[in-house]
Amino acid sequence: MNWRQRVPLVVAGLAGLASLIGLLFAPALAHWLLGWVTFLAAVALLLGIANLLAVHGGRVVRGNVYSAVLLAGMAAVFGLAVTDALGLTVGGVAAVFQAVQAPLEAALAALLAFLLVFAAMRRLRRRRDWNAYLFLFTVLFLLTASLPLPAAWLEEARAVVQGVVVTAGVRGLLIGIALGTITISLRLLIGAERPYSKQGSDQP
Amino acid sequence: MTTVICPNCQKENPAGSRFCNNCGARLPAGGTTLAPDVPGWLQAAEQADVPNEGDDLAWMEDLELTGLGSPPVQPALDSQSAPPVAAVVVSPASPADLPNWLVELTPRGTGLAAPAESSTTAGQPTPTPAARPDTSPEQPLAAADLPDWVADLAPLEAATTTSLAGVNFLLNALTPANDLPDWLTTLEVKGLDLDGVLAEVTAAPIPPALPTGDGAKAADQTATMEVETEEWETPEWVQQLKPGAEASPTITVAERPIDIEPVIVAPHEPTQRPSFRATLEQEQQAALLRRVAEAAESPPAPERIPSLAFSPRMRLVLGVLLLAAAGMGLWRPVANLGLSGLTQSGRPPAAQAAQAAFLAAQGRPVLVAFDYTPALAGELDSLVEPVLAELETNSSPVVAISQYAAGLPVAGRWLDTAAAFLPGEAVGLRALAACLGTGEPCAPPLGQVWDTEQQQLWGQVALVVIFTGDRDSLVNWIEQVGAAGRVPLVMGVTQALAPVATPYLSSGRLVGLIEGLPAATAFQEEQAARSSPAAAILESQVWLNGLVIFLLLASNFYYLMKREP
Repeated sequence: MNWRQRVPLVVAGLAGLASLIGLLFAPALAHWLLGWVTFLAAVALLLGIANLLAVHGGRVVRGNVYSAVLLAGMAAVFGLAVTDALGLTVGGVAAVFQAVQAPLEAALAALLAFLLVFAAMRRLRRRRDWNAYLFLFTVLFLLTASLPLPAAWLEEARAVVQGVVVTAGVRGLLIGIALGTITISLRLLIGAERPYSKQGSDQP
Repeated sequence: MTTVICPNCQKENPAGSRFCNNCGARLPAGGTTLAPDVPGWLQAAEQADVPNEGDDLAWMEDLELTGLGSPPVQPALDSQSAPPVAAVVVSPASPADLPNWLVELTPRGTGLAAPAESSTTAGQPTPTPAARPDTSPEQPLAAADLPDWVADLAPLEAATTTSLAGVNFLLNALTPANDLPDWLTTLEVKGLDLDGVLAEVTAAPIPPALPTGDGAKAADQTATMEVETEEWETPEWVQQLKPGAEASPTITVAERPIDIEPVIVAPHEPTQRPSFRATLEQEQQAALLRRVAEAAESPPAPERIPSLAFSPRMRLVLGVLLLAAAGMGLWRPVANLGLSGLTQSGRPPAAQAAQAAFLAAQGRPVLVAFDYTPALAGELDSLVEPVLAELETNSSPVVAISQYAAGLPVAGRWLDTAAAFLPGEAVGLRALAACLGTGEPCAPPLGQVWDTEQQQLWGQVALVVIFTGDRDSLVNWIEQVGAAGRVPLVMGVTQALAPVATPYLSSGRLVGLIEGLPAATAFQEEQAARSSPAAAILESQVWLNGLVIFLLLASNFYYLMKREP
């Protein structure tokens, strides 16, 4: 391991230890580190914007219309933010958010319902095993139980399933996630896991 | 440039090659002739300044030297007579293979015995080098017995003192470097290591067939010539052969020896890569593998069942059905399921606990976290609306915060005051939890500018309500803020996230939970004075759920019926 690999390793390990110590014992240290993280994130955002401009600027030169629309949108929102700050406009950015971003995100999220429906329909076509039947039964049960139907037994059954089966499963998942988080944290601290370098990990 | 003929493909290869460049076959060691290893300047001399073309240096090639040529070259010395004595054994060739002058030397007792003659002397004591002191190279030879070009050589001025000068020269060329002129010592010819050749010649074991004592058996096979090396000044004519700048490319004059691979220096003729030829064994193995592959059972072809969802027309129909179901729920005058009556039966227990927490925080500040993006606004906005209305009813001032940048404008739709952005996820929440509910003024999060009143307001927060559809956000709030235990937490989550939040509710980390549209509808229905948009969305959801249930049942029933026995 040469110095190019050791320096990031040492920096990452020290930063991780400092974060851990700050989180547990020294809130002031954590606050100070958080300031640096926020600053670096802001710089990274600026770099991302510059990269976006460079990439799509080159595409605009080559005649890409979509890139031109993207850059025009960026310029428009940035202009609205400037005019809002100067007091020339009121709520310009908020209006764009409400009229453009919110409907688009909601529409994309709604498409997920169609995807799930088609996937569920094709489940038994691809493979018919007990997992497929379990999946089908579970989906049908939860969908039915979520309906506000005048059937007390259905509501009770749903409470049992959610309070016992689902809760047990989720608790198991949470415990597993916690153990995995601890493991990954330790590996990061000791340098066995290096997502910030090309080598990545000691494991194959 | 002398080449080596490949015995396999008859292709010419550069001298010194061990393997054929064409077919890769191993070239015989004896295939390397003397010529390529002879210095280029010597070859040039051979071709240029030989007085008689008929008696050129070709006779030297008949003297096959160990290390330079074929195996028949054998040292004819016993170990006692090693340096400075060197000897060359002429292979037992027929008289026709020897130059005439060399054959004629034999009867004069020069130590060179014609094979034909030596074969007739079988049984007689072999004239070993030690037993034949008269075979000294100093013994003069008759000028007539030498080839003309040898006799005409400049150093041999007096014919009466003519010795085996040509042989002497050759052997001197094989002596250690300290016996060579300076310009020769700076020459390093690959393949002609003078010291190595001499050492090999002198140190090689003598075969039993050669004369060691009496040498009677070897006398009929070999004719030996022993020449004692001596201090010999390089003749002038050799000096004239000193290579110049335009010398043979196999020789480089430099300050220090430079190894030059003759094969590299030699002009390389591109050879065609030979095509691969499988051996009989390889062909048999390939045939066996082919047979095994054909005999192996191929995996059964997947069962092809006509798909209901693959057809574009069917997809279009399904999409229209789903949209119609959603629209029927939203367009209540057309299809009103009357769910209001169903939800008025009461809030879910978790929602009732949340309502109790709202009442407990009556009149005190409540922190509301908008940890969701517009993608989930369709569901979570239905929860926010009744909760904010209830907090307003309880006269609880609201302070807003979000861990997401996109959550700030979401909060801006509900509040007049801007929400605070909280970076740092778990670390940021941990820092926030240090001051919440302590009664002391809170330091503003990074990037925020709070006046004293705001700082005191945050320090007096009595309840935290989090709206989120993200598991990480839920877990971070509970583990970092809820674990501090100073401020109770109430969660408003999507129905998809409800299973994750339920365990925390049962463990007491959460004091209340509002799960999706049914709970929101119940909240709104209880607030009689308000409209209930959540009920419309809930009806739309019910229609959609019903349609999805029907589609799943119908499609899977279709696939089950299509199943082949």
